[in-house]
Amino acid sequence: MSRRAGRLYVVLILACILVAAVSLIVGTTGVGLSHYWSRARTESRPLLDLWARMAGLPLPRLAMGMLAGAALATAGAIFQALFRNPLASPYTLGVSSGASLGAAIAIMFAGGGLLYGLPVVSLFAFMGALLCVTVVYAIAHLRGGQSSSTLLLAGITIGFLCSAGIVLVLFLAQRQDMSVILQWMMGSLEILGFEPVLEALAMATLAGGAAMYLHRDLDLMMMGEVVAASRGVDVRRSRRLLYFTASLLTAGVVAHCGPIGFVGLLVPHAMRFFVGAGHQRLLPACALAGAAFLPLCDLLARNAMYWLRGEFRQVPVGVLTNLVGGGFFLYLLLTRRQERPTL
Amino acid sequence: MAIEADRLTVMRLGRPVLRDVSLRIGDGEVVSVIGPNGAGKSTLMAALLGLLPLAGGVVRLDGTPIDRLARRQIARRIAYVPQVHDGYLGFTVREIIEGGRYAHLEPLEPLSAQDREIVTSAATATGVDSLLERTIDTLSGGERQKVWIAAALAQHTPILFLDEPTNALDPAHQAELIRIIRAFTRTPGDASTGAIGWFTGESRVAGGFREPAGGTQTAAGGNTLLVISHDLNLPLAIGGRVLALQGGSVAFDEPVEALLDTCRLEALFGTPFVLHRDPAGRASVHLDV
Repeated sequence: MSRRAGRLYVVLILACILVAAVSLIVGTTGVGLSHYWSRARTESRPLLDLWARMAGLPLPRLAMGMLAGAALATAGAIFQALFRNPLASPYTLGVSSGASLGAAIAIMFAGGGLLYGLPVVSLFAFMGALLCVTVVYAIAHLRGGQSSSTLLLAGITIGFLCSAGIVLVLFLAQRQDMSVILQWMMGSLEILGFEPVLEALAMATLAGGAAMYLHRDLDLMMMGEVVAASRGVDVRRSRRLLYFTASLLTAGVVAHCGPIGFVGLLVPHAMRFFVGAGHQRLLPACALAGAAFLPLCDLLARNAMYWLRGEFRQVPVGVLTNLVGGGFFLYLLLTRRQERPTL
Repeated sequence: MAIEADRLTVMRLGRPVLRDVSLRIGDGEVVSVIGPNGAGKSTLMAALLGLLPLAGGVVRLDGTPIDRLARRQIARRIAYVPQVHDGYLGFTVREIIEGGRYAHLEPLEPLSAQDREIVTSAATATGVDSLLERTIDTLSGGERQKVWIAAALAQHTPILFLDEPTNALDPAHQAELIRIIRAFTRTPGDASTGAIGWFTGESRVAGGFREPAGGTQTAAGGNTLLVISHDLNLPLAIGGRVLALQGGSVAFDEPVEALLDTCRLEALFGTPFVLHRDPAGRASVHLDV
């Protein structure tokens, strides 16, 4: 590992710790650590009581934020390598539309509720995402499956179809269901308890490990698929593995948090600037930076209205990440030097 | 016999791009492929690498049908520099060249000191050693081409495929490339070619790698080269055989001296050529325009 990458990791870990600490201390709309402590100190076992209170909402929310940030950033880096395009995102292939359609259908027909102990909405969102991803892969495979561009086209097409389905569901839904669906599509880290976190953690660990195992394949495939094959990469096998790995990473997050945009685009882009394009260094950097970035966004988003206007409404974190991400890319678009002459 | 192709047929969009092409390339041979645009040169190269589905025929690498070999096994025998690169340009020269070591490493195995030495030697041999930390989007076309060749050399294979390597290179880069090619094709360990001194570092190849049957660097005959070129003087400069393709079939397959027959070239390309000999007796062919 180079010195530079090592230093960056240390900085990123410190950033994670700092964001986590500030997030817990500041809390949500004035309800932070001191509030919880003032309640807990009068109990017979104050520390245990404090833990119980924190473990209800603030801690799972923080943990989910870190995990979701890490997973989305890593998935983004993988998709960008697969499509040899730094502007691909975890949602390029319609994972978010598939998940949203699944969630919308669940909200319309089942409302909230649990199925086998799992929230129906999360379950449907996850299945929607995986179904979408599998259909995309099957289409590309039928078309010969020779190139990533076929995959890209199939993904965009299925994404459009899912969007049409979402609009149809919105049209058919009751007014209150409609607002729940829209709320879900804005993306939020508000979850209850540690169970979703543990589920997502298991998936993220598995998928992240697979991606690290294939870090050289990622490098070579990003350099070009023909080159990769001639260097000894079994391109079809690696592409299939990485495609489902990244999709799983994304689906695991989207199912619980909704489609939170731009993390998978912004973080890998920034990290490439620091550690270069090689995935052995890039993937861990993305995971760490994502784990700091998303909870920070969530901290700002959920408190924005409270700080600015004293209101208790929370801005969905997806709105903020989209704003930051959109702004960042506008900046890149306007300042990046031209590689080719334009007409 | 390093590579044998028997009655290859390749279809693309319902049309045959190669028809019944047979070809044998022995260990240590240098073969140049020439022919007009669309004659099937790049397709032939891709088919010999096992990168294309065949409509007919078979390719054998050291006697084994290539579709029965893993890509990793093929990559330890043949390195390839394609004509176009469509990848992301943000990688550093070092990362690109290190990519050449893929087939010699297990997935999580770090580069050894020997791997790093091979990378450095490949960069030195192609003259890109001063560019190692630059990203390739900052390089000129000629420099990029040398980087891709360095990566192929770092693959450390006895066979090298080059698809139009001198395309878009200025004269100085072309001359350099010819020197690199000559260094590659000469007998390994030849003291007169300092550039390939690193190719003598065979200890690890012999001792550490699991080579496919019969596949180690040929000790006596030098390395094997297959090169596609539109520049007819490149084959003349590097010697060996020339394989002419026309409309997907082999027009002729003979020693490079066949290129001095301008009538044949005219028949192949459909435009007249003139032969030129310099005072030292070296021959070259040029367009008669």
